[in-house]
Amino acid sequence: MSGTLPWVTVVLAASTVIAALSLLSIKMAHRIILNSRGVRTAHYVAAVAEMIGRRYIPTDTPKGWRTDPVFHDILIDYRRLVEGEDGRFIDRMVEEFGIVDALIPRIRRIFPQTSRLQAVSTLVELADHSAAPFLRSLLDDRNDYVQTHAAHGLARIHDLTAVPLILDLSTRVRPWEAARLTDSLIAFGTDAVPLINEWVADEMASPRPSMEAVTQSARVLGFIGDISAEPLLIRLLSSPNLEWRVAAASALGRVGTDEARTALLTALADNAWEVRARAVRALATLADETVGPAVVALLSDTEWWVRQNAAETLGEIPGGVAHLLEALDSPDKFAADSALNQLAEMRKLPPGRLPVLVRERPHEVAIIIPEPVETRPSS
Amino acid sequence: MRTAINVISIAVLIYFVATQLHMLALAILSARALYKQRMFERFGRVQDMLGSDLSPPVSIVVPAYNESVGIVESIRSMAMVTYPKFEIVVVNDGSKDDTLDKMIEHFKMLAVPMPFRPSIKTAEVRQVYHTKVPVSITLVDKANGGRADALNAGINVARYPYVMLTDADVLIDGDALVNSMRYVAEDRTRTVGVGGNVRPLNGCTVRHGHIVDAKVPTGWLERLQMLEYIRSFVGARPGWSSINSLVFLSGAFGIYLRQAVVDVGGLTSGHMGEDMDLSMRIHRHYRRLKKPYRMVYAPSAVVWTEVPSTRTVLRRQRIRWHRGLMRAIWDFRSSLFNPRHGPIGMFGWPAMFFFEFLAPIIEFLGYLVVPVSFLFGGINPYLALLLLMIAFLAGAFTSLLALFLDERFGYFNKPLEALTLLSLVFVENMGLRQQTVWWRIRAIFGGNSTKQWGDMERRGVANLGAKPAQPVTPIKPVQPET
Repeated sequence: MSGTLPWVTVVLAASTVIAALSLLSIKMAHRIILNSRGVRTAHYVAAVAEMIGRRYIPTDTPKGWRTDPVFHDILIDYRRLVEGEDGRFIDRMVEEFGIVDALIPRIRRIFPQTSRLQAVSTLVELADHSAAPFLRSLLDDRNDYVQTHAAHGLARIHDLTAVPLILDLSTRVRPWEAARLTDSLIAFGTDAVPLINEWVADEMASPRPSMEAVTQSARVLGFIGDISAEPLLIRLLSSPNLEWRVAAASALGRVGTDEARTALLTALADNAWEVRARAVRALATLADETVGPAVVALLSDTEWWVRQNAAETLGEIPGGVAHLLEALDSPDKFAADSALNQLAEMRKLPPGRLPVLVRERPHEVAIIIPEPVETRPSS
Repeated sequence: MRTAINVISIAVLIYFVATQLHMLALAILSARALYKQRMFERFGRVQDMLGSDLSPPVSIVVPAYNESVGIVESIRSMAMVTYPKFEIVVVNDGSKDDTLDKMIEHFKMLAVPMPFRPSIKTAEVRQVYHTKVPVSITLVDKANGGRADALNAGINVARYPYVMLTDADVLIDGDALVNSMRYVAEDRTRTVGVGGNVRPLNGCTVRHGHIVDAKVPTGWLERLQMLEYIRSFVGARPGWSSINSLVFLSGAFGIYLRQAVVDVGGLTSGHMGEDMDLSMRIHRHYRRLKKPYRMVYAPSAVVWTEVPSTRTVLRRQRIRWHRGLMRAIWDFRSSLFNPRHGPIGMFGWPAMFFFEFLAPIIEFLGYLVVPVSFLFGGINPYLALLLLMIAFLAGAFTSLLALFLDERFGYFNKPLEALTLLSLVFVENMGLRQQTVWWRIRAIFGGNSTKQWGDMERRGVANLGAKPAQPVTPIKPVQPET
């Protein structure tokens, strides 16, 4: 052993010195890169602003610009900030600089993963319709991130043919990616709703439907809030699948028709508390005072979350506060508690109703007297 | 005698090699986990979570005992985190200073009749306050019962399905909640706990509840603790997390499924390692139920905390930590090499026992054996010097690996700071390490004198960047045992 130890010491000493020097070099390199990035950012911000202002694209732009990620980031930022004529001018700049053409080859699989992903994330922000076939081909890529970015790119350029492809893909990926893929559908807006409806209906009819993808689709339909999704969401609300019912309950609140209200009122009696909790919250978005009595009943629900959501809903719907004040005297302690909680949160407790916990600091009771209820000034 | 010394020497040597291999393996696992996590952060569209209803609401629970100096700044930083829906529950644990009054005054708190039915038994709750400011802040004023009891009271009042247990002397990065809750959104059914990355706040410049400049602390004691934190939170925890063997989530940043905490009866009052105790009980609970679960570590969920700046306070802290570990080792002895407890029983907990609990004993034996061997002529001075150098270099190399991994966060790139960091790697083994070993030995054999929570002089999070004003008013928040 005594023969080996000196060698171990030497190797370890050399490794430590190399590691220390490498660390120092990396730190210095990081500093230089950051400084250089800062300088280039300032330069590009000024240059792009001037080009937009003068509506002028110089023909002798340095070649490095078209492949510089910092330049791409600045263009993306400007593209998000400006609209109309200025936005179209930036699109023209992207085209004339040939940025998309420069990015596409970098997405090939021979490039390192980080470089590919950087190129994809830039491409989806700057590409126009001509890149649609390429972006659709990226939906078949092996990398989840590439697929997700491609879906968002297709949504940005409004390529409706990609909607079923994105939905199909969401059945084959993990829940996080499924959520991100379906998120991209929101950008398509109401145009995508018939396609999503059709896809979900087919999926529900299939012998082994994808639970996650359908759930996420229902969520997206709610976000878009188009009335044509209502029959499908009502069907989902009465399905045996709990996740579907929960997602449909939330979504129906955003659709907001009479049929949706009726379906949600029925869902208040669902066996699963998760559905009752979501349905009662969804009713708040309808802002309809006729749902008050049905919601009051849920103040006595066995599940704490449902009671809380019912109280919150009553705090938001017209005439709901009156129901909460009534519930303060409810013989059901849980209902009274929920109402008390909500009224305290809203600072609408009636004067004279002493807080149950204030015992030792009576001087502070004075400050909980509710503030005057805001009234709309008469015009 | 000589045989005994030889046996001890060989045991110490084997232990040393095993420790180094274990740290190297963890560094490799951590590097892989950090790379994956970095890719996810850059390209996984994490920010999309903010606009989606997939992000479950979180209750941030903050126990406060005599935290008057920094409580306002700390709560302000928490109120500014970027997350769709969260509330802050501050629990004033019978403070003797003006923590309560400062909270009431600064955040315009109003006493409210907030009825709640405690799921966990705690000391008496005197009053619940709610704020008038737009962010939902609830203040619970209760009788003193210790940190665990205060957290339990906060968990009782918390309204949301996930509770983030933290301290009142921390600053939370704006995107810490998004970066940690994305693990929950990623796997809603299995994720029961998410831990964050704790970094020393000392020396940093703080403005309006935010870190505007992360700096290396000015004091050597704080600098060395910073290195320890980097080794633990960057060099080891991502690795443990990747094999679902995270033994505990840090007390400064731990997000738990509220129901899981309630199911195991909350935190144990009077336990000096209540965070480890809670995490281990959750592990055991889910193993018994045979429900798939995971506790993960989110390296980019960064929280900054004040670390002790004097030896006295550091000694008390380390003694307390080791006593907490001792109790946990005893309480969960059945998990040791228990295949029914999965990776935590086969890897995480045994590593805690061998490389944390036993470490001071074996290292101390190592320090003893050298002079004794000299005395009996059983050691070759040349060989002893080589072994000493190997130990020194191996320690430095492991710390360097952790610093390499820390480059992923991009802190400390100024030339002077980089050189300071490098010097830390070598200075650490020249005194502080040995002193820490001695403190931990005292924790094991020190008897009743070591069974106190210890004091912490608070300078307040906003003042940590500056040198202490003259004089710093020492506040003695001795957390009593219940």
